[in-house]
Amino acid sequence: MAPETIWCNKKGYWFEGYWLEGYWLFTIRNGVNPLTSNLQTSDLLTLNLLTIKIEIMKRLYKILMALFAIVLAFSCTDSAPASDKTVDAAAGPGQSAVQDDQSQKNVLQIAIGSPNHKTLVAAVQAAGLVDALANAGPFTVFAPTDEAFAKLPKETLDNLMKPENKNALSDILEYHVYVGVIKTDLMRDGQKLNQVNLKNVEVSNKDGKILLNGSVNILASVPASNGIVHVVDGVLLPPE
Amino acid sequence: MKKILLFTGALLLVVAALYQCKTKGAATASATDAAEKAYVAPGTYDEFYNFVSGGFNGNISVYGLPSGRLLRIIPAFSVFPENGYGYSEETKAMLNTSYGWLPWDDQHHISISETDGLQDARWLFGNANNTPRIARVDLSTFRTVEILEIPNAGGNHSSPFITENTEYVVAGTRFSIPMEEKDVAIDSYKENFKGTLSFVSVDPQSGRMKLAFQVLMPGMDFDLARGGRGPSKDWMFFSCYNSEQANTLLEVNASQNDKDFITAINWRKAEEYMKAGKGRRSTSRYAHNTYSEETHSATTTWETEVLTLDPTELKDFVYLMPCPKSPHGCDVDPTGKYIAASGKLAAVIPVFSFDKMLKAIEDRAFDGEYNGLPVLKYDAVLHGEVQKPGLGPLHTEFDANGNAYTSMFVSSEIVKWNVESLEVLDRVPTYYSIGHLCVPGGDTKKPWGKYVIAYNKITKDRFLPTGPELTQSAQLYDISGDKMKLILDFPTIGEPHYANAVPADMIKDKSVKIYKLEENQHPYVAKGEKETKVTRQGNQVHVYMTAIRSHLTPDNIEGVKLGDDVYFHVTNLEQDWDIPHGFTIRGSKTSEILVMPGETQTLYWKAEQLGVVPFYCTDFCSALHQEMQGYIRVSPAGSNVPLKYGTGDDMVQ
Repeated sequence: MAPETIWCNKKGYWFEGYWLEGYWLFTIRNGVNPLTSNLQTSDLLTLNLLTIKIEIMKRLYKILMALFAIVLAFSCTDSAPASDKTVDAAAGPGQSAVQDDQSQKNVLQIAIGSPNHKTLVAAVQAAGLVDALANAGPFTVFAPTDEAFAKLPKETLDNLMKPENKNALSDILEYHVYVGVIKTDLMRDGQKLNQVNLKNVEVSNKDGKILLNGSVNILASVPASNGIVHVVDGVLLPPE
Repeated sequence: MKKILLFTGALLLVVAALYQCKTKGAATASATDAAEKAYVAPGTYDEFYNFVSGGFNGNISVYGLPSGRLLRIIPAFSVFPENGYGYSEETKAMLNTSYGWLPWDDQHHISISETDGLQDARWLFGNANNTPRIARVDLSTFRTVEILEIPNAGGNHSSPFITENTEYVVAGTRFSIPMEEKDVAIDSYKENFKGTLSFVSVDPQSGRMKLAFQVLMPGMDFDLARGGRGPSKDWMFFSCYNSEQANTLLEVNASQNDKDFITAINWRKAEEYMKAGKGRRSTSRYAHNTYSEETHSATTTWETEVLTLDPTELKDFVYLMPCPKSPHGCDVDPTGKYIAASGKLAAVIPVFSFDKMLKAIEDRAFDGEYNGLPVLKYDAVLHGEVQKPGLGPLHTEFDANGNAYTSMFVSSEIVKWNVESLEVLDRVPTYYSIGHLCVPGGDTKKPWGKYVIAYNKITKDRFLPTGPELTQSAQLYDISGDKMKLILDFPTIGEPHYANAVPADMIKDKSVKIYKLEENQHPYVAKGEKETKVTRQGNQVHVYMTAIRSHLTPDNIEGVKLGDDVYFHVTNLEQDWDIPHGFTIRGSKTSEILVMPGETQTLYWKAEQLGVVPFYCTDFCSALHQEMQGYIRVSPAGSNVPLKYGTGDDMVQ
């Protein structure tokens, strides 16, 4: 089973939990996690198998933390230092976890590296799409900024982030992805882009002014190793 | 309580330690269980032969399953210097085409011959995707024995899929082209371009192929195909995309229509038209290369006849089923009742019902026409859609228990679903970006099941890195339980596309071990050392040479003149399993030849420099292999050095 990451913040410490072969495995990371800071602690903690309660963890975490450091330091002589060992916080179990500092950044890494796409990245994570976006693609990703997400009613976004609404969230995110590379100079007036969720995004191009679905602007375009990211100022909502 | 906490803490630490030591977490299989399942003890055999297309290496590779051990590469469309395929005088003709002699192709799919929808494993068919051809491999010798060129085609991707009794092997063009190689404007695609779906008949005894007829289709791209079975055995199904008929930037322009098509062809009906003398006969020159195990030589026959059936004129044998978004795989389930199509850009897998299709045809439930061909109503032919199966469905294979396994390129996983209920049952990640997949016998009436193998397109960090160019990555999963379990990673060569597997017992006992020397009818054979000789015909020198442990006869040759064309016809006199001899000569501009016991192969060499030139056996055949050598003397063109040859003291003049 793929490890699913959960996070919780207690007393300034970030716990990162992985579900691994029947166990919750915790590592503790200092500082804030910029990627999931929108997530609510209450949404995240459902520790079942060992019925570990967060209150218990509170009392134990300092001891565990110390022991952890020792174990990590001594258990893997051939691996990188434990503090660097925790892979990219956004990485999934598959291709997104590939360690590669030579290649051009892929669409996922571009989104992760952007200070204006925290919500998008959190959503991609919650929808379990990180590995897909690290795929060969190629993809055209319309990446709404945090401001664009902020235009949505807060309730809508909070609801979408709930695990039970994973399908609805995926649907919206897949509506932001086209399989193929569409640079702006390929965008024609009246063009339909059939997105991953099978719904069309309508492109209008009036004298070089490009609008998606009649209202969304492209603010910037960033080429990626596996496609292109168009930063957009609105969230595209799939037609019913 | 504290005890529990401490125990819990300790447990976490252990788990943490284990986890941290693995670089890929859940991507690694549970070691002991997997090792047991994939383990083939030294000296024991694998359970299956896994025949894997070689993609851009143009050949077919054979692995053992479950070990993943590479057993053999069967050269088909690409030269293979390792054994001289395409280099020896005998095998060169296998690569003749109407475009000339071609050293390479792109080999995508294979089919194992069937009787009554079950593997009979007599032959294996492979397609050449670039210069359209079909190869037939004899599974008793693992050699390519026939290659038929497909005329009027622009890339033979939708091939070599077979009918239930191997009556036909099909070749659907990937690229539509103007017929008769006409010189027309590229943007006249809609008007001038056509696609052909070729049906090649297979002789039930000899396996010999013949282009029976071509179905002329509107210009589109034809992707994959499958023969029906059981109730649908008279039908062949082809997926097609680019129904937009775009001729440029297909990345955008071929994704405009919401639906493309699955083309259903009633080949039995087409056959009736053919037998009734219907259709249009035309002429086209195409190569038909066959290899004889008697003469150990290939010959090219130039075929000329083509019969074209136009479904807009000859009605009622071609129907189009709308299919979402550029379908790729088009796979018929073991019952023959369902066709799973994979819209590679779609987020659903539509599954068509053969019964419903027949009913829709009967009821004339058409949704208009496409270029004169009837389009059936989607809802009328649909069994149902697998919802949210994953992203980028490509291909589907089946087990014997009513389950389907679909590869998902974009979400990098195999998804198991039930064919009747369309319910997703399980999913496993692959590493990474799976293309084709194979369940042994997964394209037959009775799949052998047991495993599913993922042939991935992306390797990245899966094995030790070897610079920018990496091996391809395959994963073997145990499917004997409800959940798929990863048990082995193994590297594969070339670029595997479709593959299939055959139980070892169906092949191993009929595997040829030697060629019988007395049956060798090669025109330059020397069936014993007494038959060896060197003859001259003008500038051509023919050396009738034998090889046996541990000498070549003759091993001294004189009287060859500068500019002579020398042919070394080497017969391996051994009649002992796995004692090949090889042969080469210094400055050889071709590959070595590797000669199996009882076989004759010929290496051509031009004498371009004066002197005495060494030759030797290239295969370590025996304790005195290093002694297995000789010399050929090259004298000036006008020299009077007589032709003289021999081994030991008996030089013949």
